[in-house]
Amino acid sequence: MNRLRAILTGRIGRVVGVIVALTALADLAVERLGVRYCQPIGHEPTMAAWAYQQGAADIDVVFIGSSRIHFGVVPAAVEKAFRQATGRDIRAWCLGIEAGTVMAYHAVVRDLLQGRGAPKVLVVGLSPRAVNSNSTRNGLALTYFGSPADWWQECRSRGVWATDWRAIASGVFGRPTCLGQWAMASAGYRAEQVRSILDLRGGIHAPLGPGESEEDLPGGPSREKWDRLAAARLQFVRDDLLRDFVILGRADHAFRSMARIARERGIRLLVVNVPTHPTFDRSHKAGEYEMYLESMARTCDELAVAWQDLNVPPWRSPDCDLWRDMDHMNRRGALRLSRLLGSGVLPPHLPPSR
Amino acid sequence: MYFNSIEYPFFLLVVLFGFWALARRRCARHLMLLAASYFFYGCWNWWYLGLIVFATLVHYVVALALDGTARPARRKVLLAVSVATSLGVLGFFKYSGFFADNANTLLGALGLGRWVPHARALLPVGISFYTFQAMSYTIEVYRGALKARRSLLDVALFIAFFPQLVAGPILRASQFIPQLERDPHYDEGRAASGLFRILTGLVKKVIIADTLGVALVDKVFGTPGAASALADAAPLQILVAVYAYTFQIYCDFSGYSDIAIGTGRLMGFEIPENFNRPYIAVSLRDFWRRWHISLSTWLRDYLYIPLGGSRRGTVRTYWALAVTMLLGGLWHGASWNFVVWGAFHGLLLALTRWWQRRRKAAGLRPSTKAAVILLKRLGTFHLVCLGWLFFRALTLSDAVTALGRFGDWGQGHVHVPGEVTAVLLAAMVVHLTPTVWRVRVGDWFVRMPAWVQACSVVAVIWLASLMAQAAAPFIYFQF
Repeated sequence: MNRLRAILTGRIGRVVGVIVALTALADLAVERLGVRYCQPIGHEPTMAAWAYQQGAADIDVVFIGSSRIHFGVVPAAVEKAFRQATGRDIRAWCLGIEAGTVMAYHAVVRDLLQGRGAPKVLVVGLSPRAVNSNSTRNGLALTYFGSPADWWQECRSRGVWATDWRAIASGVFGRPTCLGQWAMASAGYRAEQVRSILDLRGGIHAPLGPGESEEDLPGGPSREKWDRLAAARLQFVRDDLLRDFVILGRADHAFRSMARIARERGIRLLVVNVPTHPTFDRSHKAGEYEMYLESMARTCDELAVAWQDLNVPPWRSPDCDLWRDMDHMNRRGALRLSRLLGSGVLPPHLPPSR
Repeated sequence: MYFNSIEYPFFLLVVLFGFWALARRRCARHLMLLAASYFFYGCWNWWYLGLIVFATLVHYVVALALDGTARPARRKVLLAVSVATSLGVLGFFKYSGFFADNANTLLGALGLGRWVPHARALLPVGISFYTFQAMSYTIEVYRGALKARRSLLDVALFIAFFPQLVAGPILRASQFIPQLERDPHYDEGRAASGLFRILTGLVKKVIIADTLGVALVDKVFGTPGAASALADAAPLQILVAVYAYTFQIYCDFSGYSDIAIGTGRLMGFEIPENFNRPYIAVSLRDFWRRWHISLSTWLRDYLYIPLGGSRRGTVRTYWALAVTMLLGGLWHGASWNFVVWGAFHGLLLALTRWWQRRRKAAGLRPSTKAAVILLKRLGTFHLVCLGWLFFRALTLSDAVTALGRFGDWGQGHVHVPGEVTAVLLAAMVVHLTPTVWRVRVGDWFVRMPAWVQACSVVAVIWLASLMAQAAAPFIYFQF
């Protein structure tokens, strides 16, 4: 033991101690400087949040959800459809988070949509995968969007060996690189990407250009290919995303907290069930879907939050040509959905201001 | 669990804590290390841990039986049993599918149907490494270089020692087991040296290898999930991609070895070097003395020399070289690409041997002129690069397609990302720096105060995080 004490208080102990201290200081500096979303290369969801933080102002409606929202909403198309339907202009923004769950949406709403960044309406796109408290993807929320307080809360609520310790460790040791990324961003690094995200207002697909029409846009893969994709995808979804499906717990807590924050900030909340692929009913659909629908409708009613099921006609189309894969719409599908959102879903929630 | 994953530093700290707390209690210390090693491997697949245990028991029992008999015939049979068992397991998991597919292709071409069954077993990570390592124990006992160990724990720990379990260096029992029998003595300088090797390995893997791989090599050569772009790529693009892969595989593999050596050193173990600046080799023979040294010496000692080596005549020498390199290629994977790569090196080694013998017979000594040595190095480097093209291509036809593209020199668009150029040039420059300079940098690091070392660790972690999002597996894990 004397030997071990000597080692721990010697060089190894000092090296480890300095590493821990430097990391903690850097994490605190990231939070103090507000550069949490300026995360290292390649992580697009945080770059979209960073772009929002840098350039978004006077936004009327924010769409938040998973990659299904990221690929399914074209803000410019929403604005155009709304203008055509009501004669009024709005500014829309898409905060779709790849592999996002309601825990990630909650963190973004809590920390980003405040002050000048707070919209009038927040549309949250959900699905069973987004509200599974046992989803393996909840860790991503902790790593990329969680604050040190979130990490501490997670450790406290689940004990020292927190289920998501890996996510927390990744966040703790990876987050300080925001400082380097931020320094480079200040010098213009990735400026073009940020501008592109600002131009598309967070969306992936561009709106229709002059002379373009939706009908002329390319469609998706053949029906035979969908059937092959469906079987493989179903296995992954069942084994991973919907494993041990339960809403009650941290997903429910995150949703309720998000609703409370929106109410406190005067943000009108609209929760939608996102449209699914035409093969969904015979491929992905399982007992979780009915459970999720019933639970979300009941919870929204309890919280006096608007709930709309978009996985029914006219928002859900039987046309496979609107999809690029089992989960994400292609440009044609996104433009169609955005048009329907702007002209049919949003107007009742954005009445003319008196 | 990978060395470059977030879990590894925590795992290593726990192991180091336990190791040094049990420094004076050998049995408990080895038990802890063995449990840690099994846990390390089990994180990938707990079921396949059984294969390592099986290999351990086979070689432990056979080695004891070898020690218990002096009859040559019986000893040969015992050795054959252990080798056949090890190679049988390796063959089943690694090669049964390859042979089945090729047999069915041949039978189908002959109109006899495709009836050879395909086992489709998941390839256990590191099976080629620990199988060879376990075999070396029994072979060394057979040759009398080592006494069989009564302690099953020591044999199990030798075979499963986690720093080098899944991607080498392949240890020799006569080098490693005596280290297990000594109580470790903590030395701050050696620990700092180990830390430096780990950092060096991380830089090579995460900053150099992964950048080259993701930003260029995978895009040109393709991956199992994405088709290659070789048919349309400009010849210059393919050439740069080959250079990039040359340094990707070196930095990936030697980076792993560095981390393994550094980890061992933190516990007072000396793991032998596995690379010695292979790309400055002046001939293929020299290259194989510098590249994957633990495998090349294993093949030399346990395959090439028993086949006759260079002592049974010229024809026998070339035959032994060819078989050794063919099997060496096949060791890397069950694919015709690796067979061709091995045959390519075997042919070139045989030619090198023939040429050197001719010059020696003519009384000519190797030239010491700088220009000649430079030409030899450039020539050897490019021959090695040519071999890597076959090694990396997804299929043989892809490799042939890539070679065919060099006939359209000047065609196509070249796009090499800036970071690839920067990293590739940096890798080349570092590779060319004399070893004595790198030793000096290591010594400087060891002498630095703890806070400077800690800042270096943090800087590497942050730089690695800036350049990588996920822990990509090491290339040699697939072997």
